[in-house]
Amino acid sequence: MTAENFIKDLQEEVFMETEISLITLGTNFKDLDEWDSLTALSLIAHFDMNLGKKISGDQIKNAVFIQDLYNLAIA
Amino acid sequence: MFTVKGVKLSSIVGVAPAYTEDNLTNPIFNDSEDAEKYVKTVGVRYRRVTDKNTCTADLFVPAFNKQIELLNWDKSEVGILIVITQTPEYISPLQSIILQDRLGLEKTCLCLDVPLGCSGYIYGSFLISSLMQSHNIKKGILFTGDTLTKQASIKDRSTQPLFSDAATSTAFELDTTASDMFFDLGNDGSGFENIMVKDGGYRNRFSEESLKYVDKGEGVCLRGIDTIMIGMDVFSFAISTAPKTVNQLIIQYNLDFDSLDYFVFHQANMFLNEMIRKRLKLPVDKVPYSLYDYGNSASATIPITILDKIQNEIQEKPLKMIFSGFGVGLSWGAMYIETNNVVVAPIILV
Repeated sequence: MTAENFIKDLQEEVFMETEISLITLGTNFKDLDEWDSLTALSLIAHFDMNLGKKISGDQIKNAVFIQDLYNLAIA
Repeated sequence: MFTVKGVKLSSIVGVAPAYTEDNLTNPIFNDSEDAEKYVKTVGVRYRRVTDKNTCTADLFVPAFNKQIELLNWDKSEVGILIVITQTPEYISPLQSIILQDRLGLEKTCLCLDVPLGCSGYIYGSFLISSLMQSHNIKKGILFTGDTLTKQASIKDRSTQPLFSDAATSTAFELDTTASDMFFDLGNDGSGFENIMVKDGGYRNRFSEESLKYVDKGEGVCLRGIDTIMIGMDVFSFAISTAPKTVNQLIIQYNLDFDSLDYFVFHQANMFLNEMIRKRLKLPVDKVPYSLYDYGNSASATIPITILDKIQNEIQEKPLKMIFSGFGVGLSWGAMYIETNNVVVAPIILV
């Protein structure tokens, strides 16, 4: 999965209200207006259902940038 | 996977506190917009709250009395009482034994407590029906419910606006014409810390420390005697486990998916439950919710949802249903049941 595809899906499934141009590997996703506890749950669901990966609350807590999420997705 | 033969679910009665608190004016939220968003996404508007003197046991009693009256049962016929609760009156002795005397049941009535939460209705139905089947116990009563509001920290956004109080009584009886019940049950102790009450047992005895609020960040501030819930991990567990247990049941017993009338899930929260529903590709009208008016009351939510949303149908016609519960333990289960003219009453408000 390319970073580009990862970001495209992430925008469609999780950060639906955020302009895709604002989402890059270097984006601190917790600074996005849309980020809250519910977005975190959507992120877990997206990983589980669409990427087939279980991610924990701690992994989300420790992640800062979109790059960190991408690393989890391709790990 | 387990099959139980020749046991009929005869009646469901539910009790909830008449006193409600409205999440739209809940001071735990930052402002009204915050509150409205919560109600919309989590699905809980009203929480049923008992006063400090009312225990779960006090809700079981009127449920039982109403049920016995509706069924026209003689109390002496009740051969087994199973109580599923995490909020008994005392740590010891068993709630079921205390209730045996209070309800006027025979001393030979088999009394058992099972301290399960959200999966409790499934385990309770399995335990009572299989014991009745194997030992020819003709009539049995299953109590499930909690006063969870007493376990929620008033400063914890993850539990305080969600938890609600309710108790239910379900009557079972031996009946050779009853359809088989199927069960899929599971547990995973590696997640025991995801939902727990840390103090008051024998690992961490209750002490002065147990009453001190500790700020865990992100809107969670609680005491050792309160429920701690690691929301993200519980969510992650539930969105995969609940669809899996339901699917296993359908596949193992070759159930005709389209012939199923209802799927009644533990009412965890709307966001999570809708995710489960969509994953199983279930139509909206086959998945009832009672979250708006009754919140999350652990093992009581499945019977409360039935009474709140499909009371007339379960009373008037045969239904094929799947119930599924998942949560504290971690523990989960799903059951298939065909009901036939279940004796019910409107939820009793006390």
